[in-house]
Amino acid sequence: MSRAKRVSAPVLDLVWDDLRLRFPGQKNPVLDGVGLRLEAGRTLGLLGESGSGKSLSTLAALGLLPRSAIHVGGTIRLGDTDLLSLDARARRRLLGATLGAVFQDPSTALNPYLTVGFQMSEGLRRIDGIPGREAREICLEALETCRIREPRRALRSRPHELSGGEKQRVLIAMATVRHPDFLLADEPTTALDVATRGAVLEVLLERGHDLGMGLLLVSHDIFLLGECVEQMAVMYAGRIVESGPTRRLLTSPRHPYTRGLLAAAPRLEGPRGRLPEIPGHPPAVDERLPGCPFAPRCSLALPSCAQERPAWVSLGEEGGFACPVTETEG
Amino acid sequence: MNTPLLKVRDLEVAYGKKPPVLKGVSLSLKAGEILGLVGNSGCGKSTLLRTLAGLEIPRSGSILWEGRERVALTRKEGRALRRRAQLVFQNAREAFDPRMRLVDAVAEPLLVHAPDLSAARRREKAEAAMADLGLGRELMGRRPQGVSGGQLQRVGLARALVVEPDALLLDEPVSALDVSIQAQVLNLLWDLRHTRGLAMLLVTHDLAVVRQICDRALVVSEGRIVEEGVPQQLLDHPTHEATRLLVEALPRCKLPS
Repeated sequence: MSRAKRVSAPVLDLVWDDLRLRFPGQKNPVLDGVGLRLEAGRTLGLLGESGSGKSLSTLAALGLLPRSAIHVGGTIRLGDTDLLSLDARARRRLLGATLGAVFQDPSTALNPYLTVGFQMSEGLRRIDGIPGREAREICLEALETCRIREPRRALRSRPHELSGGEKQRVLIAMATVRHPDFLLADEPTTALDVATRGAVLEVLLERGHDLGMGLLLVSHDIFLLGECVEQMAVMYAGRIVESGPTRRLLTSPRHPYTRGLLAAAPRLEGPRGRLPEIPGHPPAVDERLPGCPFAPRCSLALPSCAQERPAWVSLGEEGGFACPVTETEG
Repeated sequence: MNTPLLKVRDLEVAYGKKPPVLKGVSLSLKAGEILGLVGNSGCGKSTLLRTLAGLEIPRSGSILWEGRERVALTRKEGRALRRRAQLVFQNAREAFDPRMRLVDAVAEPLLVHAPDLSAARRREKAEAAMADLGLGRELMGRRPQGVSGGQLQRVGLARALVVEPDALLLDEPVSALDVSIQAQVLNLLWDLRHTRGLAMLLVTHDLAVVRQICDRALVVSEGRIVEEGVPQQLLDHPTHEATRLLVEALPRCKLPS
């Protein structure tokens, strides 16, 4: 049972190591050597545009990749376990108990025919063997901590009776009701109304903190991550191009793409009018260059950038980046 | 020149017999001005835009283009006015016929608004409008699925600009775009205002976008305009609760000091 387990075993980090995935019909890998470390009890932000591979990286850890995805190489490890080699049975034991997940669109994440209480308590009852009444109490408590105003009503209701923000908070409660060690949240506020985003994010962070979970927050919004996470990784065209403590990434980014994103974002202060834009658009999978995929859009690119894969430059505690041009900066 | 391009007085819009979604809305838009309309989803800002474009009929109130009443116009005059205010949609993918080549989609509004033009001339104008927005010749024969989201949003703008409007009505023009593309489109809007003196009504939920390019902004809440001002002032000193909530909902967008 997950509750008992938490007390005894020390929690290990969740590590993506050189993960490479390909889809049939494409010559280039869609994930091209993704390396990430989600430390137990800490928060990591994964930043990327659509098509960068941030969602695939998340889905891979959950064993929810599209069937057609071809695993070319690399691992996702939790201690000695390689999550990619698990059979369906072993994976089911892991999901909910060790890994929880929250996705972008709460309206498609719940079964519309079942009450919230039934779907929420399913894992507790059927896997942890907790009697219904007790499971219900655990669910109530989880809903309450996720600031669902009338948790008893929420348990009895069906998904359509809840608002978008409520649904997403119910899903956070549901993903964490069995106290997993890690919570993977893929754009959890993007589909929500602006006014409810803040509250949902707060609940997510609080819940993560209270349960001592490692939280992976996936987003396209550098400022949102800037407010929420301790460490950040920037993904571009299937690779991690920079990572490190959030503060360092926001104040002294080293990869030209990270710098470009920061400069191009509309701000609440500073000059109005034209923004320093990043030219061009992110490459489709088969448009990617063998060298640095950002090279065609990069103002600092050297002729060699298009051909030679940039080596990872480590900054120790401050993370690292993949750019041979800015490496030489003092 | 003191007459505003657009003046809206006491507008009320309702869908069917339901309670009105817009109540007592008054606003004015000067030539060459970028006016932001901000608010939560469901506040009525998109309905306002659709009404100004002539896609919804108001229950009461007046919409004056250069001092002339829109609803009192003949069919022909109405069409002339529609040409002058062009709507650009949030989701460019859904705004295009997937089977139509992009250059034909851009030329299509000319069929209505410049029926006397020959097909060759229409095509010429469409190509020029696309080239003006940095869309290369190689894109013109493609269909919507063959180009990126940012490119398609540009095509949407080209289609609006081909009929030489005075105003653009923009419904969340950048919120569906990738972060690295948003700045390109915002810069394009900024430049269009300067090179062509276009007025814009820009609907968005993002106050940072408003501050970046809007001269003035209106906050819409529950079908009413509840606050108006210069964007920076709304950000720094919001007076209405709805504005305050919008400001609070933003990531601060400031670097930690």
